[in-house]
Amino acid sequence: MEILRVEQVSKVYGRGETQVNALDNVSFTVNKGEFVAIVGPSGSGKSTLLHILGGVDRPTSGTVLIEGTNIYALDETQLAIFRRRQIGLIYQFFNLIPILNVKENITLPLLLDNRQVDDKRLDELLETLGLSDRVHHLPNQLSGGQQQRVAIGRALINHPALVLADEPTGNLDSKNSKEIIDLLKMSNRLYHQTLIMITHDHNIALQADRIITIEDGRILKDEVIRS
Amino acid sequence: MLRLAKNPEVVKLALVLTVLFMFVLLLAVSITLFSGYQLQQTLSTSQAAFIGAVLEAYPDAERGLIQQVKEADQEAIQTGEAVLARYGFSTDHLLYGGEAVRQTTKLNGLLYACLTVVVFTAPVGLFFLFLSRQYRKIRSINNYLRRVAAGDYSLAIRDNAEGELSLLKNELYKITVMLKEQAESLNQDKIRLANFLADISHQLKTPLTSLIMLSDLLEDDPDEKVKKEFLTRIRSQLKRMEWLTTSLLKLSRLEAGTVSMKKDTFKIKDLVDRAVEALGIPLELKRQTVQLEGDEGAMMTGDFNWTLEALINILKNHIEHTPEQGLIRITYEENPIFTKISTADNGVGIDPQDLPYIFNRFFRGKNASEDSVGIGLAMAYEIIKQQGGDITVNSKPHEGTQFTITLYKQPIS
Repeated sequence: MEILRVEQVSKVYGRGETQVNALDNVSFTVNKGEFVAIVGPSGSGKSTLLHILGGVDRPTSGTVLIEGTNIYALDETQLAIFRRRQIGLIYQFFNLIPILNVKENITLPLLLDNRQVDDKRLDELLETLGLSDRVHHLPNQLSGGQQQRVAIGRALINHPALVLADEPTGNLDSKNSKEIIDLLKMSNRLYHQTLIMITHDHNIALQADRIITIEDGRILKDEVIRS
Repeated sequence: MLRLAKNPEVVKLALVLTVLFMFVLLLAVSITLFSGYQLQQTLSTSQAAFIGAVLEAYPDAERGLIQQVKEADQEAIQTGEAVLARYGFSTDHLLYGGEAVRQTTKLNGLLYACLTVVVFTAPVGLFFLFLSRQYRKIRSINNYLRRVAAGDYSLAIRDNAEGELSLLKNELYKITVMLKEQAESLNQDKIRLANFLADISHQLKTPLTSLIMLSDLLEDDPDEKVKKEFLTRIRSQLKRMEWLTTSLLKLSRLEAGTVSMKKDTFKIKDLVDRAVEALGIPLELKRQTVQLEGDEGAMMTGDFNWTLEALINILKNHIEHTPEQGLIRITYEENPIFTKISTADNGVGIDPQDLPYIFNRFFRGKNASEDSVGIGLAMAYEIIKQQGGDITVNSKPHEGTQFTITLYKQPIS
């Protein structure tokens, strides 16, 4: 079942002599439950693409449909709410709120919607993330791997339609990287969670169902690894 | 209260009520001021007329009268009241109480009645308007659900707004997506079943044809030696068919999801040992070495027998694609999130083009042996998938192949 449709998306920064075509007519679709790795050299447009998929950055032209909703037809407020409910974003540098503790950071998407936190589910999530004894710690009291696990918890708590990860292991050592990737894969396998991940690590990319290679803002290759 | 304030409808209602409240307050203040002014007017006119009449008869009294207008003294009031009493005027209908005061009272009454009507009817009206709007929204959700129930999944219901109703729409949409997904996978299942049946018939047809042929030849009553040979061939074909049907039965049960996987906890080493033991003969025939590596105490949670079957199938694949005297390495590990068993060989490897399909049922790669049907790996894949696990493959031609089985510990619900 198709969950994401990207149609002729282009992104242009600057104009005239300094014009940069970060994305040039990119089109592809992703099915529900797919794990897609996006690879490519620095400056190829990977992150720009991910930000456009996540509703963070507007494309210059083209449309992005998530579960049939054209997200750039929404106004700013609607888009912010859509993002909070349907998209989980995981960044290289975690982007946790420094003054909120682990539990508050994870439940933030729910609290913004004024929703009750299901304590049982939260406990299970914390257990799986290996954060049960860190519930009241602040981000700066955690290691990098733990901080990234908090970010994963925050991305998963809402059962989003789409989880987008921008080099989630780029800032971690190999042991932590492995753990983070396994957590993400687990959510992908067990909950049929659609996952799109940017990575520089070829071994991580090979664990995906499909690898999209981007160069100079275009899709160079789109290979299915396993069906 | 704060929760309630998140709903845009409630905020709107509160806003309208506040405006209404301010309006009524303003109206009440102006009515009070206006009626006070009216009363003042009536009193002044009446007093002026009275003073005028007295002064016309007694011009000398001017000073005394003005004095009383400025500040009435008790003595004068008593004298006045005594005089009035003599004419039958009590304090109740003093000479001010004429038409003018009645007029003022009537006006006041009317104004206050109007105010009451506004104060009561406007909020009630607003409340019903609010209710009918909310019900209209609920009705639209109802219509949406009716259409979803009728199989129309194409509708968008999310409005991406704040508030409970929007959240409800959001959750309903998630369920719709789930239904849509299920409907689609049901359709795919139908196609898969048809393909499956075609595959099975094809797989059974080959040995059947050969059996029919052999039995035809036996009818001609050949000599004993040929008979014996034919019988051996018949038996081997029947064995193959038996194996095929058992495997297919297992696989179809797995794919149908009718197998309930147990949650045993066991030592990974026990599992690996049992698998290697079961493959003793083919390993010996090809004189291959198996190397184990891992923590002896590492535990695994899953269905022992089925996982064993998966592991055996994978190892069989390794044995088949590794030359004589080759090496098969098995490593395993346990950590808080998952347990992992990796198996690697130094054999011929899998063609990169075949790699995405090796777990598909009845898929035979370029390096597949003649006897291969393409069931072993498909079954291993199903077994691991049924347990919420993961099975991956890495392979380089002429360097070897590595399979990795990952079983996750208790997942998040």
